[in-house]
Amino acid sequence: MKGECLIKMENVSYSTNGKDIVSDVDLCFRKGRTYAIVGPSGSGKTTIMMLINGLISPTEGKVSYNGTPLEEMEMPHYRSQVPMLFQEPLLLPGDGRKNIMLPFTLETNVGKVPTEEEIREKMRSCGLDETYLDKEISTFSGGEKQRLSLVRTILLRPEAMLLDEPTSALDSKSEKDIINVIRTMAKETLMIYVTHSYQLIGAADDIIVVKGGRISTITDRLDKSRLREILEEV
Amino acid sequence: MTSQIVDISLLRMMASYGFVLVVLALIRLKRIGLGRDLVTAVIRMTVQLIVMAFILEMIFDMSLWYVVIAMEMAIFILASRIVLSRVKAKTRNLSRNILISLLLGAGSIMAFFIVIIVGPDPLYDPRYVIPLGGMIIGNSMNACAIAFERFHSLMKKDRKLILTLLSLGATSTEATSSQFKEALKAAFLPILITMTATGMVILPGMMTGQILSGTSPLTAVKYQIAIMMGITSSNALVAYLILYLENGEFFNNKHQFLLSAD
Repeated sequence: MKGECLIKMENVSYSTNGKDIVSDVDLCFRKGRTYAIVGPSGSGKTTIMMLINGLISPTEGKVSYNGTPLEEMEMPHYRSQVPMLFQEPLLLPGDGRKNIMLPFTLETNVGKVPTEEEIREKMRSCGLDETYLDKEISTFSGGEKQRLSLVRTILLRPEAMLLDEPTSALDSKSEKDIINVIRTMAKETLMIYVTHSYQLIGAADDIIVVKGGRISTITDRLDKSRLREILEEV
Repeated sequence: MTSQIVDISLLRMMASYGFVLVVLALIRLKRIGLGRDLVTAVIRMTVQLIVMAFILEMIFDMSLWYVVIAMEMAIFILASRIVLSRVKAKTRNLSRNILISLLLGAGSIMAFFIVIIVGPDPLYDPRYVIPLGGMIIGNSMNACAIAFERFHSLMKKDRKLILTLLSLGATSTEATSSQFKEALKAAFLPILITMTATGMVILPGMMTGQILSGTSPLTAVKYQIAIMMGITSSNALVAYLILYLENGEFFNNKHQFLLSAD
């Protein structure tokens, strides 16, 4: 666990409508590492991701990026550096290409427009061939939609990626493809994902267990006995 | 072509209420349960129009610029209250935003219409300012209500899509651009339909009134074309303004969607 925190959560709490969703979260995410956030449904995992993405602000504590509190950052630019992929991929009516290019129609991402070759390469790595570029989204399966959403997020060339259940709609073979993509990306990009998948949990460098909105355990995956306990628990 | 309008005697005017009796009979026959509402609406409309007639007579006689402006301001405030009562959804500053949209949108078109297109002497002549202003404001109220209602329902329906776009780096304006466009289109549709039918299916109220009062149909048509242009522009401007102002109500300065935590 060496190096500076790229993303840091300090004493972060979040409550809404009088209900505490996340309490006293202290986390440090380092570049080049992969983090799996696990825990029961409703434990606050997605809220933690939204807090990191800056879609919501902590009611207490602070989230910072490279030492700068998010409050002081220009949010659209920050979010394009640290994009979040939601569990249910939201794609617009139209073909695959339109959806892949969607983030690049935004002002903050104009300078990041990928080349045709990059698009095809990232699609292949996620198990989608180039015919999907011209296919109507309505003909995509849930898993294909999930992979297409992942491709467009990867093409943003982010500093960190937040993935909420990125393989929930995938079969075991496709999941392996995605894990390989995550592993390749993790060499240069901080990867944080929420998951219930054993394979994905096993692929993370650090596993963060969330219970009732609090961090209950943080484990290095090399701690095999603890990992087994977590997997059984989750 | 300038014959005097035939005045309706009070008794003949009262006979028109006979139509309402027919409707009431139908309501009773079919047990629709709207009888009380209809009677209330008829009484309300009658009282409002009689009061308005006296007020207009008084204002026309006085012909003072500040009285005309005060009257227009009262109409703007009343119009914004009516829009507010007509929309189901409510946001924090909706009342203020409706008034601003109407004042800036309908007000600027009204001013242009009176000063540049009609050019009465004096410019504040209440015979022109009040009815023409009323037509522009009245139509803009509908556009304002439709635009807001549609936008609000789309913001709720498309919450996840908006969050997705924000999470990829969209500004609040970019994240809601499709909802904005759709609401603007919805507000614009009624006037487009009216324009298409005007002169064929519909003989508009103002034109009918002018023709009845002895104005040449050609003059009446010129007024009608001009007022339709004014109403169309005002509708678009008011709808745009309410959407622009209301879009701001859904986000904070960190481009966070305020419905995201619901």
